[in-house]
Amino acid sequence: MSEQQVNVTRYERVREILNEAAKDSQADYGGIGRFWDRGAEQLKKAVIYDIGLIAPKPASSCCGHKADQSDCHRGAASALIRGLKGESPFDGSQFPRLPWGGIAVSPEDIEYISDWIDDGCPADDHASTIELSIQAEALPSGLSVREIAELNVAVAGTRSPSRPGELKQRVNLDCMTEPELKRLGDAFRHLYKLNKWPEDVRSYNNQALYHQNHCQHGWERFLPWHRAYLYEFEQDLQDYDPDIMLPYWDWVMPQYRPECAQKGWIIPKSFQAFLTVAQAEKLIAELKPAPSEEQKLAFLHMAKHRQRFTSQSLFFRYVYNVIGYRYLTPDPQNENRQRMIDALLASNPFFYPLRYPAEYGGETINQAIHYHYPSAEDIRQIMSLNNFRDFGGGSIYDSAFGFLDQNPHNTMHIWTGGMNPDYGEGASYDAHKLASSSRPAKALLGEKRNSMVRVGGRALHSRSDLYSQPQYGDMFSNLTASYDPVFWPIHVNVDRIWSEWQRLNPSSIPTDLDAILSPWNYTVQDMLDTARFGYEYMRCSYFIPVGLDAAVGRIISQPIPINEVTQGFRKAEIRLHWVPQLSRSCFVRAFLNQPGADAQTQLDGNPHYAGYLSIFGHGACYGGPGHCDTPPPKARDHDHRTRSHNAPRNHRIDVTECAKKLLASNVSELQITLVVIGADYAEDTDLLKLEGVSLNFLD
Amino acid sequence: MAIYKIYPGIGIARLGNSETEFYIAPETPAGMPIACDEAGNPVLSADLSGPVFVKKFKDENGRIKRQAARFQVFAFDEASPEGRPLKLGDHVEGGGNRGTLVDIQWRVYLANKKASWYEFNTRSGEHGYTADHPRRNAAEQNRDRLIIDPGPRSVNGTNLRRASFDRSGNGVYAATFPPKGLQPNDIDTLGEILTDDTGRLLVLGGLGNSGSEKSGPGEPHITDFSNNDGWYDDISDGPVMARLVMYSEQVEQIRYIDVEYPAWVVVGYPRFVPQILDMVTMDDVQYDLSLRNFAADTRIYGRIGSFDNPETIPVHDQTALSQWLDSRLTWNKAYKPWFYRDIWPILFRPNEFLYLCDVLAQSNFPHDQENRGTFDPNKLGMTPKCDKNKADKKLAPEAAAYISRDASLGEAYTGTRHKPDNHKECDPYGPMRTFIFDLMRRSGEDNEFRVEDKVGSRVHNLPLMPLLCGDNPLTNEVVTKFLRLTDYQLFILKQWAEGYFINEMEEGWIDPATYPVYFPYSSTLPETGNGLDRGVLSNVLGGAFCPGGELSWVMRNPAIFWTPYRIKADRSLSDFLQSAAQANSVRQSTHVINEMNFNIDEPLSQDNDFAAGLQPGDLTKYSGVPWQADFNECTTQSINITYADWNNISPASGNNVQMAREEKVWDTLWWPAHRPLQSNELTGFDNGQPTVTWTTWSRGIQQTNAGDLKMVSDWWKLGFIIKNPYQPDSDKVPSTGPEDARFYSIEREGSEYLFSQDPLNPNKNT
Repeated sequence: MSEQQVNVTRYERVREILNEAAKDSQADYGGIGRFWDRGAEQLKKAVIYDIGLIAPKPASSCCGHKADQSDCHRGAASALIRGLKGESPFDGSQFPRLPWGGIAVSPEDIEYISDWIDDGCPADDHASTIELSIQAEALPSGLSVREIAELNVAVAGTRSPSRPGELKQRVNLDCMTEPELKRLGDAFRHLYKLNKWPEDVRSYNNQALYHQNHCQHGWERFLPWHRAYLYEFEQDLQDYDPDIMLPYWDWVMPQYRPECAQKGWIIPKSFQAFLTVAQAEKLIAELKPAPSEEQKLAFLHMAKHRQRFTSQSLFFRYVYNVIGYRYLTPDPQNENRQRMIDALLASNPFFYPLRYPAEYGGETINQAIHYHYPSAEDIRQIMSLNNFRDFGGGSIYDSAFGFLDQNPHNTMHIWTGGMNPDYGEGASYDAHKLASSSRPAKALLGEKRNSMVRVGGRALHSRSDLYSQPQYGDMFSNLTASYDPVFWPIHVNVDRIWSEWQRLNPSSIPTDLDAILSPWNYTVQDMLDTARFGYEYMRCSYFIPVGLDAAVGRIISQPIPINEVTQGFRKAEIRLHWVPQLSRSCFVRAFLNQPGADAQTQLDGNPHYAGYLSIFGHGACYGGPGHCDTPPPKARDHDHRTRSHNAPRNHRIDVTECAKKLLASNVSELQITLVVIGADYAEDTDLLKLEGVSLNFLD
Repeated sequence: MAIYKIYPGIGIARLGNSETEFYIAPETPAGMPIACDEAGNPVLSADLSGPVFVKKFKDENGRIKRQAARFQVFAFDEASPEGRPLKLGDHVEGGGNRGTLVDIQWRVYLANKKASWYEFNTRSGEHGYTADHPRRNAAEQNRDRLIIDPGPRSVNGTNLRRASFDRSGNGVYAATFPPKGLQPNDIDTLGEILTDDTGRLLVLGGLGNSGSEKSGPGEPHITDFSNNDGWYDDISDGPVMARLVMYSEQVEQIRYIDVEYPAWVVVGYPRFVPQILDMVTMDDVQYDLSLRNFAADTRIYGRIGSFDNPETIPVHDQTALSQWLDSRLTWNKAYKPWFYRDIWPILFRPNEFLYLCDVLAQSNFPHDQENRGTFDPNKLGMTPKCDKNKADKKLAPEAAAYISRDASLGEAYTGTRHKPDNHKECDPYGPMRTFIFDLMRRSGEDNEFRVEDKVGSRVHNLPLMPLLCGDNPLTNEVVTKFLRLTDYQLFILKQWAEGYFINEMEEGWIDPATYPVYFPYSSTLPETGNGLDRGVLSNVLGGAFCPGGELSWVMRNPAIFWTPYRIKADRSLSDFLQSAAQANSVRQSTHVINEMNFNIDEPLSQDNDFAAGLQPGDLTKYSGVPWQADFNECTTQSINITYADWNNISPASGNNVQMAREEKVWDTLWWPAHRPLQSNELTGFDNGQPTVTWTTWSRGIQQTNAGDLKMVSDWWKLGFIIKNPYQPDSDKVPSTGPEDARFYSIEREGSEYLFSQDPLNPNKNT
C-alpha cells in the first residue's frame, strides 16, 4: 500500500474506486444519482429501485455475539457488491452491472469494498489489521468413552444378513477384500468343476454357451438381454453360495489410468496371473528338469509377494528371462508350460490363459484397433445422451448400435481379449527374439471381432484348450467371451451404467418391450427394473453386527479404514438394519469420528455431526400376549396377508457431506457413533434394537 | 463436457415461385431477409463487416424468391456456457469420442398433412378433437394418399450438398404425392435442402403451387377459407437433425455424434411486409409460454415468495415442473421492465398499421407518437420523479389498490376506478400511462368490445385494445372475438402503468442522440442460440389463430414442446436411421450418409401422438388448405358485438324486431402486417425522390371464394411493402401519417422495373 493511501479513510477509498469506475456517467440511479458520494451513512441507506445497496446488519445472536463484530457475509450479501460483480439482478436482466454507464470495478477493489461492508461501513477508520479474537478450545465431553465397547466390523467376507425384500449389493470388484474374493472364487470353481458333466446346465461351459448362442449386440436388446444373463448366472452361483453377488469392474477408476491405459493396472489385480505359495511349491516339484536352488527361491519369492502378471505371456517371459528357467517354449505341447498354466489356474480361479489384455503386437489399442480405452469423461458423455437409441441401441438390428454397447463395451472386450504375442511359428519367450508372427489387417479387428476367434474344434475350458496358442483372446469374440471370467465384471459394470442412466432418464426405454429374451422367458419390459432382480449397485459396504438381544443406547463402531479406492464415492449412507417396532419415538443422531458424542454434543458447526433420523414410536401394546410380537422374517406358506406392520424396518441416514469433508482432511478411517435420543432430548438407552449397522458407499 | 444444439429451434422458410433464387430468413425482429448466393452463402458488405440485406424480392422473371430457413449448430461447454456457433475445424466431443469437426450431416423430413387432418373449425380441437369432428376429404377411404410424404433427405457439407423433396423419393423411398393433373397447379416438390460453405443448412419450401384433384364443370373451385376437399398445397414442416463428423486424432478414425435434439422447420407464405411486426408475434406467444409453463425465468414469474431467491426448475424434471405448476404462481411485482427494451416495442406497433389499411390511414390517428399524441414516447417513458421514498410508497404495488384491475393475476375484476392521489407535479404523465393500460383487453375480456363499467372515467365506453380479431369471431362455440396481449405483455404494461419501470435514457444506458426510437428493435444479428430463436419467431404471426398465419393455436400447447422454443420430435422419424454409434462401428465413410429406409413400417400417422412427439407435417396441418384462400380473406371481419357470448344471432327467428334493432357489428382488422389491405405504392421517381400513390394492395382479387381461387394463381404478383429507403433517418422521428410515405409497396407485377437498388443513385436500376 502506498504512503498516500494510508492517509485516506477506507470510505474515501471506496468512493474513489466507484468514481473512477463511473467515469463521467450521468446515470440517475432511479433518482438518487451518485449514491456513494454523500458520505458513508448515506451510502449505507442508499436504495435504488427498492433495492437497498448495503445489506442490513445481521441481528445479534442469542449467544451474545456483539452486533458490531465483523461479519463475513454482509458484503457478499449486499446488492452493491452483487451489482459490481454483475450478478443477478445486475446481470442485464433487470439492471446492468454497476456502476451504470461506467467501467467494471476490478475484483480486488470489489473485495476491498466488500471487506469494508463486512466491517460495518465505518466512516472514519483507516485500513488496519483486524484483531482476531482467540477462541477457547472446545472442552471435551465429560463422559468416558472407554466405558462403551466399540463394535467391530463384521468378519471380512460376511455380508449383512439378507432379509426378505431387501436388495443385495453388487459391489466394486476393486474394493472387495481377500475373503470376499475367495468366496466368489470358490463359487466359480464349483461351476468349472461341473464342466465334467456336459449335460449339466449349471456348468460354467453351459452358462457360457448361452452367450455364444443367444447374445444380443448392436441394438436395443443388448442391455436387457445381458441384464437377464447376469442375473441368471448370479443365481447359478447362489445355488452354491447364496451370499454371492457378482461384482463390477469400474474401468475408469484412476488406477487404470484411462488416458494411457497400457500403463495402468490393465485388468483388476484379482484377475491377474499369480502363484500362491502352495502352488509354487507344487510346481517346483513338477518341473523337469528341476529348477536350480536359486530359481526355486525366485519362484517362491514371486509367490510370497504375490507378483502379478496381466497375461500368461508376461508370466512366462518373467520365468524365462528374469528367473532364468529356460526349459519353456510357447509350444502348447511344452509340459513345463502346461504345469505352469495348471499352477496359475489353481492359484487364481479368475485367471484365464486365453486373455492377452492390452497386447497388440507392440502397439497401443489406439494405434492397432483404432479404439480407445474408455475414460470417466467418455462415460459422462455417454451418460448425457438423452434417448435410449443413442445410449443403448435402437430397434433395428443392423443400423442401431448404442454408444454404451459400441465403444466402452466393445472396447473392453477387445482390451481384455488382446492379441496373443506367442501365436504362430517360431514364437519364443526369449526377450532377445522379436515376435515373428505376421499380423493381419488390424484395422478390421474392431469391427470384425466376432469373426476373428476360431471356435471350431475347441473343447472350451478343457486343459488342451487352455494350453493352446490362439491368435486372439477369447474376450475378442461374442462366441467365446464369457468363457473368460473377466466377462462378468465388465458386463456387470455395463449394467450398472445402464441402471445409473435409467435413474436420470426414467422414461427412456427400448421400443420393443414385448420382445422375448431367449433362451429365457423374460421380455424386454421385465428387465427395466433391477429391484425386481433383487440387487443394487454399491461401491463397498461395511457391516457392523449389533444383535437383537438387547436395546442399545449408543453404538460406537471401531474405526473403519477407508482406502483410496473407496474414496470418490457419490453418496455415503449409514443404514440401520432390521429395527423392530419401537414403543417410543426417538431420534438417532449420527456422528463420524467423534466417539464421545452424546445427547449434549453441539450440532451446529460441528464437522463430525453427520445427520439424523427420527423413528415414530408405536405406543404401548393394547392386545393380549403376542399381539405386538415381531413376525417371523418370512411368511408361512400360503400366508398371503399384507406384511405385518410389526415387521422390522431398515433406516438410512445420508452422511455424504460429513464423510466427504472428513476424508478430504486427510482422515483415513471413519468411526460411527449413533446416539439414541428420546422425545425429552435425553439419551434413551433402553429402546432401540437392531440387527446391525452398515456404512455404505455408493457410486 | 460439450453439448451441441441446432438453432434456431424453429426455423421459418417461405414459399416462392422462383425455382432458382432465394434469400435467408431474417434473424432480427422486423429485419430484412439476408441476401445470399446460389449456394446459400450470405453476401457480405463491401467492407466485409456483415451481411447484405435483400433489396429485391423477385427474380428476373418477376417470380417471388423463396426464403430459406437457415440452421446452424451451436456448441455449449465450459468455455461458452451461452453457446457459440460451431465451425468446421473446431474441437468436438461426444459419445466417448473427441476430435476435429470435419463435416456436418443434416437430415430433414418435410411433409404436408393438411388434406388428411381434421377440418378447421375455429378453436375446436385445441384441447383435443371430439370423436365426431369431421375430417377433410372425409369420403376418401385411402387416407394415406392424402398426406404428401416425399420421405426424408440428407445432405452434408462436402459431396452431397443438395437434395430435393420431390416425387422421386431420392430413388429409394416410396413417396406419396397428389396425383398429376391438379388444377390449377401440380405439386411435384415440397422444397429442397442445401448446405453453405461453412456447413450450415438451408431449407427451401415449396413453390407456392396449390391445386385441386377434382375435375368437371365448375372445378376447380373454392368454397371455404380453410377447408376445401380435393385441394392440396405445398406448405410443409418437419424435423431437422444434424450429425457431427469428427476426425479423432486419438484413434486416427472418423467418429460421429448427433446433436442433442432435432430442430424444426416450418414453411410459411411470403412475408409481404417484412419490416412491420404483428401486434402479437410468435415470439411473444412462445416467450409467455416459456415463462408460465416451463419456468424459464423464475425471476419474473414464479412461486409467491420465491422472488428473492428464485428457483431453478429443470425443464425435463416432470415431477418438479408439475409441482411448480401446481403451486401458487404469480408475476414478480418488484420486476421493473425497461421502457425502450420492453414497453415501447409493444406500444409502438399499432401505429405502423396505418401504412397498411384505410381504417387507420384515413379515419383517425389514435396511436399518434408525435409530441401531442397519446403515444408520445418521451412522455410515456418518463418515470415518476417525486421524492423517491414518498412516491414509492404511493406507487408500491401493495399500496396500488386503486389501480383498477390486476391483470397479472389473470383477474377480470373491474371496479370503478378511484382517482389516485394527485402526483401531477412529480408524475405528470402517470395519467397517460394508466389511460393506455386501462384500455388494454385483459384475460377474460376477449369478447368485450369496450369498457362498459367505468362510468365517469374517460375510458368509459371506449373500445378495448388491441382492436383486432380474436381466435374465434366466427362461430358460437368457444367464442373469442378479439385478440389480447399475452399475460407477460400485460404484466409488464401494468408495472409500467404504475410507474414501476426503468427508462434507459434517464439512466444513460442508451444514447438519445443515436437510439432508433421509431424502429425499437435490435438490428444486430443475434450471437446466441436463444437470440436466434427469438429473432426468427418475432417475424411470425402470434395471433389470432383462426387458423393463423404460418402456424396455429397448437403453438400454445405445452405438450408439443421438448423445451421452450423447441418442438418435441418423434425421434423415430427425425433422427438418422443409422445410429451414430453404428456409423462409428462400421466405419461409415464421411462421404456417404447411410439412409436406409426399409425399416419404416408405418405410413405417417393420421393422428397426433404428443407423447411420442411430432411427425413431419404435424404443425402446418392445422392451417387452411389451400393457404391462399385463408390468406385472401383475412383482411377484416365484421364481428357481431351485440352479445359478448355470441357471434351469430338470429333476430329473424321469432321476428325479433327488438334484437334486430339492437344488433351491432364492428369491422375488425385481422393482421395487417401479414395481410395488408391498402398501402402506398411506388409509382416513379421525381427529382430523385420516389413518388407514391395510396391504393389497394391486392386490387383485382375480391374478398370472395372466386377471389380466393384467383389468389391461388396471383399471390406472387403482389407487391412487397418496405421502409422507404430514401428516408434513412425515419428511425429517429415519429411518423406523421401515411402521407409521409415511410412505407411503400414495390415490385408489384408490372412495376418491377421501378425498383431502385440504390436510393442515392435512383436511376441505377437493377
